[in-house]
Amino acid sequence: MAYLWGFRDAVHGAILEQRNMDILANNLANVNTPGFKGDRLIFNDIMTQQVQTDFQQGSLKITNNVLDVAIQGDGFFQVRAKGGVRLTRDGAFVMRPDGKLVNGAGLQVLGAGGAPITLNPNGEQVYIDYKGGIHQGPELVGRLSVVDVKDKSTLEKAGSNLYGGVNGKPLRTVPARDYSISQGSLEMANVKVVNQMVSMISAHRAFESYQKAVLVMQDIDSKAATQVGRVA
Amino acid sequence: MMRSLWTAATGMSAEQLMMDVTSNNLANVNTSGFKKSRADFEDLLYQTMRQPGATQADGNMIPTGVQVGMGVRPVAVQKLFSQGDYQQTGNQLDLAIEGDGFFKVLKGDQEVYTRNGAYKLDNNGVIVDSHGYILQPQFTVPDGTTSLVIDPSGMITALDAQGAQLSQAQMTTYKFANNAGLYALGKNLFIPTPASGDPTEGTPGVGQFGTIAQGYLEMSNVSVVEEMVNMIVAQRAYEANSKAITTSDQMLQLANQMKR
Repeated sequence: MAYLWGFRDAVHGAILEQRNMDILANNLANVNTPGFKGDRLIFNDIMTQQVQTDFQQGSLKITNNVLDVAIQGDGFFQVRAKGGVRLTRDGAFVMRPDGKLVNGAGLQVLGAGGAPITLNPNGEQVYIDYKGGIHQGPELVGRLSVVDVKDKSTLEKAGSNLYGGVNGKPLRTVPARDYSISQGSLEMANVKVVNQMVSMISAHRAFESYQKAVLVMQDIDSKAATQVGRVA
Repeated sequence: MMRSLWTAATGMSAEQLMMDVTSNNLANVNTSGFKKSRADFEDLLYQTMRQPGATQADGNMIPTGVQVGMGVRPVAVQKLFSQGDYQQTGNQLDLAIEGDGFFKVLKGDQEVYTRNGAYKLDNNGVIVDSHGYILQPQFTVPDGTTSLVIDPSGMITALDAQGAQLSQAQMTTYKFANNAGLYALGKNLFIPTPASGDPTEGTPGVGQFGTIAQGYLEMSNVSVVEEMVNMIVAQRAYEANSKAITTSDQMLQLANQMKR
């Protein structure tokens, strides 16, 4: 089995393409998830593969719902989850009967200073300004905390549109500066279907090539065993 | 088997839900007082295959790990209580609320809430909705009434042919802290839940309570154009996910062919 090394490399390559396909499928599954950021698998060789999240801005979809907010620019909203504070770009918020502002999963949205935001349930129409200040009539009732992390690779996806620190470590956040809030809209996923399709074709074809390589090596091996050694 | 097969399947079922919600919105485009819904999604858990921050054998730290997502799931189907357009009907028992608030009707002995203001009189002269549920507080139109005037603040006045006032009563409307938390019973009716909070009674036009418009109906707040776009988005996303399944399937087929 002279081609054992090449054989192993081809199989590794095929497995990597499968993993790539897993990531592409997850991106496509979340193409309508607000605030979702697409992932991509980067590999030079088998040892240096990594998944990178692309934090590019997603397009805004106007919903005209008062408590839908989107961030344009860099930054994340903060919500209080079971294991601590989590970050999210999904701004589909609702008000609980007691006035607490929560996200779709019921997690409390944090305001400046880290305290949960409480609105007045019997107050006037909510207006949210471009820096996240929440007004009800003339009254400023709270301010959405928008934070950023210097090194985005310290973020780990926690599911439910949330980001946490790597291994559950607390995140080092700084107040975001370069952002504006737009009320009545949601940020859509930044997954571009065309790119995913192209990547899918290339993953498929690469997989096919690895498969062909395996077949050829099987041929060579069988020839070596049955023909090379044959005496005239 | 490949993870991507199942991941793409979650995507397809999510788009199916989006399509279900959209078609219900479209089916109710002419239902007065109807409020549209929206499906909200979130990503599922991530499987960590290489821990970011772990140290490699050569002492270097892995800057980004390998985390593979498992797809998508619906997190909420939210009712959106934005104002619908008004349709002038000229019917004196067609009422629309301009602004916040709900009418209360009695369904059997259950108090239910609605934005649909198409009322009628029953054989006893009581104001009821199309199902015969009595509008609360109950108002009985006295005999000899020729016209019924309801002003923006919800004052109902019954007048006879000479224009003399026969009886008068005040309507009340109800408000919830979180409309999105109401439970939809169908038939345009809602009941409160712990998420919506208890109803607050009020007089139309006072504070945050909307005023009453007599001779108008509130149309559904569904925008056909928006729903059409949602439908295209759902269909195309469904298609993209099905392509992911086809591709995964073909890769598996190739894998099977490796062994001859």
